Amino acid sequence: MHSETILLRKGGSIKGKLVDQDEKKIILQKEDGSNVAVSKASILKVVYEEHLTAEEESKIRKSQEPKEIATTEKQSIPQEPIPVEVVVPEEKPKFSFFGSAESKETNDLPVDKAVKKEVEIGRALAGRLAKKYGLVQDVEFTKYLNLVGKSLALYTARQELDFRFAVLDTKDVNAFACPGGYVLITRGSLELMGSEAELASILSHELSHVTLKHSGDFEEKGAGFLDIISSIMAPGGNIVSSISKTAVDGMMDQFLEKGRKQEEEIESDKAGILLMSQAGYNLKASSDLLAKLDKSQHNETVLKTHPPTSLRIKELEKFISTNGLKSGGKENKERFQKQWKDFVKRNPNTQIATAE
Amino acid sequence: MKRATILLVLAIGNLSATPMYVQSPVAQLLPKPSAGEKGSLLPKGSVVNKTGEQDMFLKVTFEGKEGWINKMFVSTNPPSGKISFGSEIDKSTSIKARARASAFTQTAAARGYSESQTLRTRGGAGDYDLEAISWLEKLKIEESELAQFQAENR
Repeated sequence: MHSETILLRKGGSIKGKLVDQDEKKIILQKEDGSNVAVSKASILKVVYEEHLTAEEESKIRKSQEPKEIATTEKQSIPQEPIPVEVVVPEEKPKFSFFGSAESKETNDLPVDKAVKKEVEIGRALAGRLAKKYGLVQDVEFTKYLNLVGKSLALYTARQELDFRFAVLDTKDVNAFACPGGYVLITRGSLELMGSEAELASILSHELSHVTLKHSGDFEEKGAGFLDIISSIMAPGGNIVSSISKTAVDGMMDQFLEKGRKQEEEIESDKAGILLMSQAGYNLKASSDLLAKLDKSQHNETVLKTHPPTSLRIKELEKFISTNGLKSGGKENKERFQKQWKDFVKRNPNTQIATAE
Repeated sequence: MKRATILLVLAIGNLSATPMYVQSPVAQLLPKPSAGEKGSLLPKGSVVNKTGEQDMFLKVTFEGKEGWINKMFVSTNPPSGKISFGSEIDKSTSIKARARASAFTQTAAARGYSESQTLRTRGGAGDYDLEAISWLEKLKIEESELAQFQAENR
């Protein structure tokens, strides 16, 4: 069991796996299986490492000193941890995307270390793609793209990610799901589309790659100086570590040459349908867009790195039928077409015609 | 002997159950592995035990009940805080090389890249446009905007 180390203000530490929390306390599961509640006010810092050396602990304590002075002026030092039982709520929550009184809120939880690492690598990968193709910095269309994408992402199991969607400036027909939630779609793909449902189909497919972790797990192993540094620094700094570079090189090769496993692509097609169905989009848009992609002039890379389009369409139709999913649903043609027309007006020419 | 075998099989079956966390607000415990089925809503944050899999659905147990759940709605990751960028992305504006590799693995990196082969970044900053990604991260979508967009969608 991976454990965190909770450094206490008054000195000393507690080790355990963080399993729950509320406004005032966090619940730790200790190695012997018992649960302990620790008052948040008593915590100096949560460190995502089980084994901290005295030197590392001292360094972290020192880094917290300025914050401590400010904090102790405002509040009193809390008491000892109190053993408690974790109670699972019996009532079912009312549906809410943004949380409800009944659902267990996660917004105040510390960000998982593996998630930070995933974002670090995904961010570097997105930076590489942005460099290769150019990223169109059009506020209005990118906002629209993010509204469509985030509406779909709200249904996924990756609520800890802040999904981002952007346009790559190339005529190549493609889209890329970077770990950590960076989804980049090419201008060439958008040119093929006639409706928001078609846009939703490609974004759903990419969201599924991220949700189903088709780029692998980002589990941390062992502790080191850099792990402690990265636990202090939020992701988002413009730093690319050497290990990220290695991972990014491998994933760029997968995006542009080797492709993912065929079963992962088919799985993402099906998962995408499930997301579209939740959002109420016309499911037929997926196979319609795939058919257009197949006939496109700029599809060389996407066809090379994906299963045959005929197989994808066949599997999609079979999945929709087997699950008894209804056709119909919204297409939002007008909204998409207006956004796209305005985008083209503002950005008449693509900077880079096709990828090398 | 036969009884012991049955007990062993049951024990192994129980051990093979994998805990997973419900992370989607729309996850349901379905009677059958099909998106067309209706089930009971599972509270976000609940722990279910995965005992099997069929296509896009996982066979799970929840509070003693057996059922199926859409694969997209559960994660092996325990609940975590949400990644937030905000003003913190301005902490550093240039690409810097880290002198040492950290000790973590990643499946994609592991395909053909061993820990000892990890490169030390010496330059290479020209391969990235992280300023463009910073631009994207700064583009704020308020929850109210998203809620309104969804309302218009219905």
